[in-house]
Amino acid sequence: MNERAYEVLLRLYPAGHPRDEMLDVLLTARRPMWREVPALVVGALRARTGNDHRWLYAARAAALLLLIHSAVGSAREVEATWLPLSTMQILVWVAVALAVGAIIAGWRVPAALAGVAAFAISAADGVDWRSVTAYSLAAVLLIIPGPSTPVRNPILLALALVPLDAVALGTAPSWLIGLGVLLWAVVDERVALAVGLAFCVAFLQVIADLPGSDARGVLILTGSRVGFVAAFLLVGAWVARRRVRV
Amino acid sequence: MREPTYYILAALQDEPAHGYAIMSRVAELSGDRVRLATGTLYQALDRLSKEALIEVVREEVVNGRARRHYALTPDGHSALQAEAARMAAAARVVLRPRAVGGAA
Repeated sequence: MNERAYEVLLRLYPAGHPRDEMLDVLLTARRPMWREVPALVVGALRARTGNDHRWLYAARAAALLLLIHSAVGSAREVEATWLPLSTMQILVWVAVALAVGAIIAGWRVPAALAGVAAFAISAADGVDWRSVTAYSLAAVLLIIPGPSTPVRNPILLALALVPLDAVALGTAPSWLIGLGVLLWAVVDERVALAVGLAFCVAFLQVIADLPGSDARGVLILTGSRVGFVAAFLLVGAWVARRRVRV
Repeated sequence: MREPTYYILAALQDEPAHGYAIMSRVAELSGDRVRLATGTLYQALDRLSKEALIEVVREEVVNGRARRHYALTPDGHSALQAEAARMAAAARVVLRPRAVGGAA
């Protein structure tokens, strides 16, 4: 009974892992299953997500979030006819698509070039300043040198479609998404770090949008934005620091 | 160095061992204080292999299942010795004989 259950659980691990050997240890140790299962599940998820170059990966993942999020946001605004569908806008989307593809593939230089192009074209267009802010941060994050770190994470792609502002403003379903990201740090803290870095831009955008006379509004929104950025970055950094320790 | 890591390395200081032997030795050396779950043990072994502190020295098949034997690398041995010396120095600060009531 236990052997069959353990065999199923061990299939969660990637193919290269010593599953046979682990099964041997599990069956020899004969410990209660409830003591073994949590560590097996967390270990399998960690083995699948990988955990090298945490901050570099998080920076590129944050760029991915910013690029997709802003491009989708612009598309929604074009659809709602708040933004004109211009050649420049189409060129921005092409640059974003190239950058996203290069980030996923782990091609650092093409990703950086396409990211900078997305920023330069959108800035030259000068219509959608929220996106320009996001593309500028994405470009900066993509310029950071370092080894190739392909960002192949379906969670990040799904998160890119969630409005970051909504998460920061704390509407109920968005709170749960934020909480989920924080809890997921047990397995992969790089997602929390990426969201924290990406939140920085949401913070800048909102501050830029606020009327100067609304001091209380500025204070509340600043607090909420700083709080959210800090929560994700602190949790991610704390877990990353623990993982670095042997 | 984390405590489980310290005991895993300590379990390998005399001779190579396979997963279950490491787990048992860690419990024994720590007076049953550190009881590693199998998933935790293999996460640690994976991390220590990547850090080149341990290595696989032998592989055998027992009951139709692969069983690998792990050993300390020279770097692993040095790291273990350095950590033991650090903890001994820290312990001396507290445990050294002192004059009760301070100098008169």
